[in-house]
Amino acid sequence: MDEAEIKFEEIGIEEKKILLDILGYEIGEGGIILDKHTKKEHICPITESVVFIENASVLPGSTVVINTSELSLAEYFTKFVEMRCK
Amino acid sequence: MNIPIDIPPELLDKTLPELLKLVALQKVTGKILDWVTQRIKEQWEKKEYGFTPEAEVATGLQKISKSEAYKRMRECIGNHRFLGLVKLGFRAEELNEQGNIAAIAKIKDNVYQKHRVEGIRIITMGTTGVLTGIIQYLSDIKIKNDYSQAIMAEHFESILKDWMQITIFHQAEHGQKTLEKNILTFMKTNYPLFFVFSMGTASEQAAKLIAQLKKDDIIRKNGYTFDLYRRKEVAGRVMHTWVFQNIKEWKPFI
Repeated sequence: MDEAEIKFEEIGIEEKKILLDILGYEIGEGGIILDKHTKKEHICPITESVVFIENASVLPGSTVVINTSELSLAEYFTKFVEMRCK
Repeated sequence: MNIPIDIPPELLDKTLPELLKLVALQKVTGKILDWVTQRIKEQWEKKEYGFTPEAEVATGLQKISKSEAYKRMRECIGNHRFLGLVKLGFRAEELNEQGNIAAIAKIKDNVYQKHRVEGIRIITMGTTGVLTGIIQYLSDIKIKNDYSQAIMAEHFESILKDWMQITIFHQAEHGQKTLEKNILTFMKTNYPLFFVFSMGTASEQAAKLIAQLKKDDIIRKNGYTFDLYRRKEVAGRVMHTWVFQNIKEWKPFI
């Protein structure tokens, strides 16, 4: 099975905050992303460090919130898109 | 999702980014806001959108992940820890063709922090244009010998580990004599596997020399066989990859 096409877009910080809020996250001090229920810092599943709103990518594959770099995006596809669709 | 009677019809056709903008601009309140929020959830679950400060990069990487060369590599080595780097190697290849050295430097910096020198080697395979040749070779031997993904992954790792010792990047100014000396040295030293890469006029030089070595039976007498892989670049140049294998010494799981 081939992967479906994802449309990637850049959105403003406010829109990103709204989406994250709907998906169960909130923004803490300094723009750090927290789990709304546990109040713990969200850890990027790729870089394994905290994620700040400005550099966050909110991606499908259930919901994947990661620090953004070319490397983390490349690894996102491998871990969350390609393997899911094999 | 039920549509309450008071939902303005124009909201029904809004895309996910448009709905998020409406909420951000506080254009909707009360029951309509509740409906829009629910609509955003539903739209998100369709997995049609991804939001990132690097939308263009993500779109480019998605295109690479659907490319034939990348799929062949995924088929070869399976869910390997370096698969993401292979994708990035292709991205670096594109950036190199565009002359975007700053973006390549940023990728290398990122990759080195997580994957050290092995990761950098994959990015360099991309920038030097040899990644496709390596994948063609790996795919070829996997199909011919029906090797498992585990064997192929191990073989790819061994190529990465020995990369500096098993590669000849031939350029026209090196001259045919130097290339001949280098190939003979590799064969005399019994390297199980080595690669010769070249492009443009250097390829013509290398092709003539290797054809002559074959005609004179020097390659076979030294216990080697070779395969040639060609790949056309965007600029119209052709990258040649010769893979020399020692018939006795070479095993994919060296």
